[in-house]
Amino acid sequence: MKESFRQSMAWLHTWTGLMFGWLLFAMFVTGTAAYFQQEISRWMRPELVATADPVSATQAALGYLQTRQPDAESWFITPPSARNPVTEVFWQPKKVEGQPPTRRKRGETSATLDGHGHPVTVRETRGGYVLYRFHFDLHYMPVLWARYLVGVAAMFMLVAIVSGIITHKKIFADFFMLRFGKGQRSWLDAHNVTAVFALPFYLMITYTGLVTLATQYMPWGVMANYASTDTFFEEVFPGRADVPRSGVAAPLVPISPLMAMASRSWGGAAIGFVQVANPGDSTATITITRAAETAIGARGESMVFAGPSGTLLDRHAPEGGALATQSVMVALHTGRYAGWGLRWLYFLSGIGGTIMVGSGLVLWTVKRRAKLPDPAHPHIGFRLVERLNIAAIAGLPAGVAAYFLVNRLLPIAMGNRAEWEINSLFLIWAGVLFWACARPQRRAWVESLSFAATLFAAVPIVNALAVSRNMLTGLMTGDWLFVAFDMAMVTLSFALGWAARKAARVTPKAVRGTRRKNKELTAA
Amino acid sequence: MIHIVAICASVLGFGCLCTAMARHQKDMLGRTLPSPVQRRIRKAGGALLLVALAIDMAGLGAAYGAVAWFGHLTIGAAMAVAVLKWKMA
Repeated sequence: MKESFRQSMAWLHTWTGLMFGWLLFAMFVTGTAAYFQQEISRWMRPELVATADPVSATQAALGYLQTRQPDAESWFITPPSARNPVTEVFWQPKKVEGQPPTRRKRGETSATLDGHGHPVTVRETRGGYVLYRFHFDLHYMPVLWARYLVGVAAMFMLVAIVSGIITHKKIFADFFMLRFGKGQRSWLDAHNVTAVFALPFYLMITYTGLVTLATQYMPWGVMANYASTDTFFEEVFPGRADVPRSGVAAPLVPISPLMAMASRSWGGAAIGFVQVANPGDSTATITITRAAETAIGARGESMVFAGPSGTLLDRHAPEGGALATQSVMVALHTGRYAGWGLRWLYFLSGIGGTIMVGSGLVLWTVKRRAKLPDPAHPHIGFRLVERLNIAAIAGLPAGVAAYFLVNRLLPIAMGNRAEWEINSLFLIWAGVLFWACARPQRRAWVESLSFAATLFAAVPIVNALAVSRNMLTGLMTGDWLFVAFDMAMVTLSFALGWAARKAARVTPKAVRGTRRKNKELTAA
Repeated sequence: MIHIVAICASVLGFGCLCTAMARHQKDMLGRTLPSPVQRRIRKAGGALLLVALAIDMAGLGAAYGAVAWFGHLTIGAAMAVAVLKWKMA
């Protein structure tokens, strides 16, 4: 009875893992990179060097918006922070009577400003934000569908984790077991070790990932109690309600005392976000929101001031146990509160997850190859898995490396530059998929991994040739971002190169040698 | 700094837990240990992991420290295996 239960769990683990394995691999790669979203964005905009004081930068941004967008519905300002040296502003343009709000291009309603409120001249790029958004919104498809797909994948991941724990019966006895050069046994060891060492992280990240989009996946609680989801969000995160303009002009008070007061009341925490509704009008309000990086569950704490007088009108904090729990879970997932040390731990755990999913996918083929009736001519399903593995495991990293490279190579003045950066990522990824299908399996692995390794190795070189900031100048001037980025690229290049070398060295004999040992393997 | 100290405690802890296992003793020590010694090493290993938690919570705050602790355990276990592989090679 017990044995058959474990066997059925092993079956469940194998197939749930395989079904969404490729998507989960892509989610792990981009999600892991997203922990350094701001740093990637900074690297991809090397023109930005100066840092600015958040308070004076916000005041300067208000001046910019006052001149350029005096009659906007509202202004949104993200002040510079330790991880982002510029002020990001966007605005909601004035509604035209009787006309539905039109979708506008990104550049038309937003600007990137320096500390003095001047727009910065910077190459057009979406930076690390693209990788962050791909992690749950994918690309080239409607966001809503993507989120359902990602949600189903996350559910499968949860099933795979739990069934994997049950399947792995020697979880303590084999805790430190990692044997190299033994074919299937080595793949299983690698899969087990990466899975067990960061197991709490995987459970946390998968579960909290589902929680971040819980109102979409399980809307019924909201539906039963509110007329629409908008009403729900307005109640949870107030300050969005539209108040009509009075038509009486009134200037805004200086922002500095308000920011200081808000910061003081949050124990010196930084300001994450400033919103001005009905700017320039007597009904104007200023909403100041606490930065998410200041505490684990700091989401949504805000203070509302009257624009012309600066009097405190209202203050909001997430209320109730459910909201507090949700905000802590989302924070645990996104890691916005994490300092440098913890951020690297998140990143390394993410790398562990990437290897875990990747090794699991490879294990599926390694385990079955030995049992094929004719290993030289596997059936179509087997070949499909093989090729998709190559496309996912070597292809996506190659695409990400290309995304970084293209940022340095495309002409600065090119039209739709940011779009073409993103397209390059997917073109290279598709290229590797095509290559993986066209070439013999073993060669395809070696060539695709070598290709990805070469692209990563090229990033520091191309960067050094294209811009004046690189690892060497970074070491001399203390520009640690560029030191760390180059080191990360070199490390990834070495890792992929090592994998390519390993793939090249595998002999068919070693594959056959594992067949006898297969009988000894009961797990996985 | 707290991170480094906690990771050290975690590596030592997992090192002890690994050494307490008969199958790894040949690789780590070149001989097998009597079982009372094994038990003591295992206890020491567990205690060291708790020490890492105490360091994290004292240095980084209870909530933040608890999150960091899981990261430090992951790194500690990975480094213990790296040392084991290096000793075997």
